[in-house]
Amino acid sequence: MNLMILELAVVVLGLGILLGDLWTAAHQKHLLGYAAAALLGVILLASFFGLEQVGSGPAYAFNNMLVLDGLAVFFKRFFLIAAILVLLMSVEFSNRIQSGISEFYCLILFALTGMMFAASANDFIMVFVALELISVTFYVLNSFQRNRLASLEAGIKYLILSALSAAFLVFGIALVFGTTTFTNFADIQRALVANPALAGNGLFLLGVLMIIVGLGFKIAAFPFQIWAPDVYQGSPTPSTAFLAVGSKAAGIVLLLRVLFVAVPAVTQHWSKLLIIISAITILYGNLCAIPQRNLKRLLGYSSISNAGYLLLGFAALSQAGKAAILYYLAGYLFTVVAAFTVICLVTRDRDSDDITVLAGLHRRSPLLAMALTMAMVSLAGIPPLAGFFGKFLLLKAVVEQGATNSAYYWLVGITVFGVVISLYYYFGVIRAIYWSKDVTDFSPITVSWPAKLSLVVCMAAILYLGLLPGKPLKLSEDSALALTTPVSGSKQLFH
Amino acid sequence: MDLAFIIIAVLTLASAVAAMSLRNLVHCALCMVMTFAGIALTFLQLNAEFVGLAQLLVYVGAVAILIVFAILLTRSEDAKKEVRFVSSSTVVGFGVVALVAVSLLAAIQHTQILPPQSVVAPHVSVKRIGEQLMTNYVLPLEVIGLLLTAAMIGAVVIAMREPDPADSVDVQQRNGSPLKLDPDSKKTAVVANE
Amino acid sequence: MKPVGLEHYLVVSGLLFCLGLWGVIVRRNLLIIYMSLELMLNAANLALVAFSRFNNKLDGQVMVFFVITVAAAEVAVGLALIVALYRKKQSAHVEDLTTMKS
Repeated sequence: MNLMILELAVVVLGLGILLGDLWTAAHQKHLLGYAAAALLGVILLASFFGLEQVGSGPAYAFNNMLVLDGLAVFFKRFFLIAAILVLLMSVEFSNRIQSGISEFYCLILFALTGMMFAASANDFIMVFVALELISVTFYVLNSFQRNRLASLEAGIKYLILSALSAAFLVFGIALVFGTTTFTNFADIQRALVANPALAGNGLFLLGVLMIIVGLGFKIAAFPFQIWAPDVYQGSPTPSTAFLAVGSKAAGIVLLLRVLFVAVPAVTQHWSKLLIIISAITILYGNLCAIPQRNLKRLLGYSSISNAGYLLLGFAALSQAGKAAILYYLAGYLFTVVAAFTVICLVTRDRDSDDITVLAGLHRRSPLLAMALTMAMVSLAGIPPLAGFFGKFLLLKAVVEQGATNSAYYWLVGITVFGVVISLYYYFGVIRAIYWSKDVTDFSPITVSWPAKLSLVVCMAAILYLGLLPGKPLKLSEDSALALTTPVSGSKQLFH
Repeated sequence: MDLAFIIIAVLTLASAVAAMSLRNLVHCALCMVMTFAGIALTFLQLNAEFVGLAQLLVYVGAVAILIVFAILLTRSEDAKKEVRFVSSSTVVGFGVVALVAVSLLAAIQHTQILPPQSVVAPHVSVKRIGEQLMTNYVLPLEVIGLLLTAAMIGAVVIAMREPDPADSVDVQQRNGSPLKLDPDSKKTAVVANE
Repeated sequence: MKPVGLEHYLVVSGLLFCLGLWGVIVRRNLLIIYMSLELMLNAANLALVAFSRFNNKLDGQVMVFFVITVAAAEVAVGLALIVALYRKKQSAHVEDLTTMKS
C-alpha cells in the first residue's frame, strides 16, 4: 500500500479539483490550476521523505505487479515536476479554453497517475492498463479546444494511431504470454534463463517486436512517428508539452523495463535493430524539421529527433547508456517545458503559432526571449547547457561500445550529422526573435509571477544540468542500477 | 477437426472480410456484429464462459449500437468517396498486411514449444475469475476504474454544448436536434460497462 | 481428422488481426477505421483466450476482461470525438483531415 501512496494522493487531488469546481465562481475556476500545482509540489516534497526507505532495495507489491526501485522513484519525481510545470502553463492557457478548465486540470492529473503507474509497472497487464490510462486522457486533452478544427483533428489522429499501437501491444502481450505462460517481467526473465530456446522462438520474438511497436509509438520513434507533427501542432499547447515530456518519458521507462528487465536475452541480439531505428529517427526528425515555419510543428519534429537521441542509449546496451538516457530526459524536460511555456505566452492573443510571432520578442519581454533562446541552444546541443551534456553522455556510451561492432561508429557519425543539421533550424528560431526585419508589434507581454517562476526554474535547471553535472549524473547512474541485476541469477539456486 | 469450430471460424472470417470490403456503412456495422458474435462463440468453445458473455454484452450490446448511432449521426456517404481501387494506400496496406500475415503464420507454423494439444479443459468458473480480480489483479482493476472515470469525463467534455453561440445555431440548423442526444448515450454506455 | 488445436485458433486470430490492419490502412471512413481497430483488439483477445485455455492459466482471461473494458471506454471517447468532428466539418473521412499542412 505504501508503494502507491503518491499515486493515490494524485488521484484524490484530481477528484478534489473536480469537486472544488462546484464551489468555485466561473471567473475563478482557472485558479484551481495553481492550487493543483501547489498541492502536487507538496506531494513531490513528500516523496523525498516518504520513499527514502526504498534505498535499501526494490520493493514489490500486488503480486509483483508493482515495483518501487530507484528507477521508479526517479521517474515518479520526473512526472510530478513535469505535471507541475504543465499545470502552471495551463493556467496561462485557460482563456483559450471556453468551458471545462477544471476538467482539463483533472485529466492532466489522471494522465500523471497513469505515468506514475507506468514508472512502477512490473507486469505486462500493468503496462497495458497504465498506457491506456495515459492514452485515453490524452485523446481528450488533445482535442480540448473543441471550437478549433485543428485541435479536433489532432485528437482524432492521436486516437486512431494510438488505438492501432494498443492493438499491436495487446497482440504482442498475448504472444509473449502464450509462449512463456507469464506476464510478469521477472517471471519472463526467469523463463528465458531456464529455457534459452525461447529466445529463438518465432512467436515469442514476434510478440516482443509487437510490444516494441506499441511502445515505439509512444516515444515517436521511426516508423511510428507519423502522428507526432500533426498532433503537436493541433493540440492545445499545454497538452502538447505534456505529450512531449510526460508521454514520451512513460514510453521510455516502459521500454527500459521491457528491454532490460523482461527480455534482456533478446535485447542482446537486437542491437543492430536499435542502431538502425535510432539512426533513421534522428535523420528523419532533423531533416523534416528544416522547412517548418510553425513553431509547434517544428518542436514536433524536434521531438522525433530527440526520441532518436534517446534510442542511442538503448542501442549502447550498457549501463552508461541507460544512465545517459535518464540524464538526457531530465534536461529535455526543462528545455521543452520552457520552450512551450514561452510559445503559450507569446501566442496568447493571437491565433497563429507561426514563427513570425516571435519577431521582436527580446523587446516585448526579455525574460521570454532569454528562456526560448536558452531552450533552443540547449536543444541544439551547444555547451554549456543541459542538452549538450546529455548528448555528450549518450555519444560517449555509444563510442565505448564501438570496439564490439563498427556500426556504432556509423551511428555516432549520423548523430553528429543530425546535430549539425539541427543547428540550422534551432538558430532559425533565435534569428526570428532578434533579427526579424518587419517588426510591427512592440507591446510588452505581461507574464504572471507563477509563469515567471516556472521559466526561471527551467532556466536554472538547464544551466545546472549543463554546468554542474556531478550530482545529477550520480543520481541517474544510481537510478539506472535498477536495470542491472538479473534477478534470475540468485533465484536460480532455488530450482 | 471439430465441425462447430470450422463453421464458426469460417463465418467469423467471412463476415470480417465483408465488413472490411462492403461500401454501405450500415452493412459494414452489421457484418461487424456478426464477427463480434462469432468471436464470442469461439470464446464459449474455449470454455471461457465469462469472457464470452462479456464479449456479447459489451461488443454486440454496447459497442455495435454506439457505432450504428454514430453512423446515423454522421450520415456519411462512404460509397461516394471510395471509388478508387488502386491507390497508394492500397499498395502500402497490402505490403504491410502481407508482411504481418506472413511473419505471423510462419511463426505459428514453426513454433515447437507450443503446449501439448490434449490438455484437459480447465473449468473456469466466474467465481475463480472474480477471486483473481480481487486478489492478484486488484491493482489493474482499480486503474481501470480510474480509466473509466477519465473516459466518462472526457466523453462528456467533448460532447458538451459549445459556448460559442453562432456555431451552435449553425449546427442546429443543419442537423436538427438529434445531436443533443449523444452526450447522454455516451455516458450511459460507459456506466453500463462499469 | 486432427482435433482442434491451439494453432487453429491462432491462425483464425492472426487472420482477423491482419484483416483489421488492412481495414485501418485502406478504408477512408473514420468509423470503419475505428471498427477495424476494434477487430484487431478482438483478434488479440481471441489469442489470449486460446493461450489461456491451452496453457491452463487464468491470466489470459483476466487480461481479456481488461482489454474489453478499455476498448469500451475508448469507443465512448472515440465516437464522441468523431461525432464532434462531423458537427464541425460535416465529414468523417480521413482525406478531409487536412487542416494542418505538412
